Amino acid sequence: MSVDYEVTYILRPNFEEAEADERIAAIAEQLKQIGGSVLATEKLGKKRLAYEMNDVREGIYAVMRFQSDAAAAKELERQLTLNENVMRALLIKLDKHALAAEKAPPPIPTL
Amino acid sequence: MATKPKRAVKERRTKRKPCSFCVDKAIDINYKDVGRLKKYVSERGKILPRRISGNCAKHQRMLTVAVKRARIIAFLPFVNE
Repeated sequence: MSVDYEVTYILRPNFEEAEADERIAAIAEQLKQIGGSVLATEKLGKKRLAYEMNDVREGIYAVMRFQSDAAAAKELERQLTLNENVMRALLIKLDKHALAAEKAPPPIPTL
Repeated sequence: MATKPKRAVKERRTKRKPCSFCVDKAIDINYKDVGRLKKYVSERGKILPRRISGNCAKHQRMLTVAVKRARIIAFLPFVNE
């Protein structure tokens, strides 16, 4: 059964713009390989972290919205933790509230 | 014997603030909305209680989850010293 997910991850800050885009595309490709369908990817860009992580205070944020079964989502999460370019990843299953908010034009600005 | 005024005790309770998320008719509280979430954490980084934030139970629960998620991906600090 396919479930709605969203994964937000932080890349190391030492990548150039183009290089970061490549990594983001690679991660989307990884998900396709393990059987998921990518609905959207968004690069939020370089941001300051609220706390120090791996001795750095900045990171490149990216969000990927996708559908897959639970096993594929779990596998993606595992691969992201192994990926040395990814400092942290947060996998979230979108509940009915999040999906409803997605459909309705949200007045909430994402930072 | 003077009877104690009953009302005095009741009058101490002040008017409850309306839940700001209900006012906005928020369906969901997103962990990426840092600007908004910041208003509901103390200077130390703790989540403000309902008593202070004035949120309704439903939205406070959603807010708690959102803040915790935001902490994981370093949008908000775990501790602010």
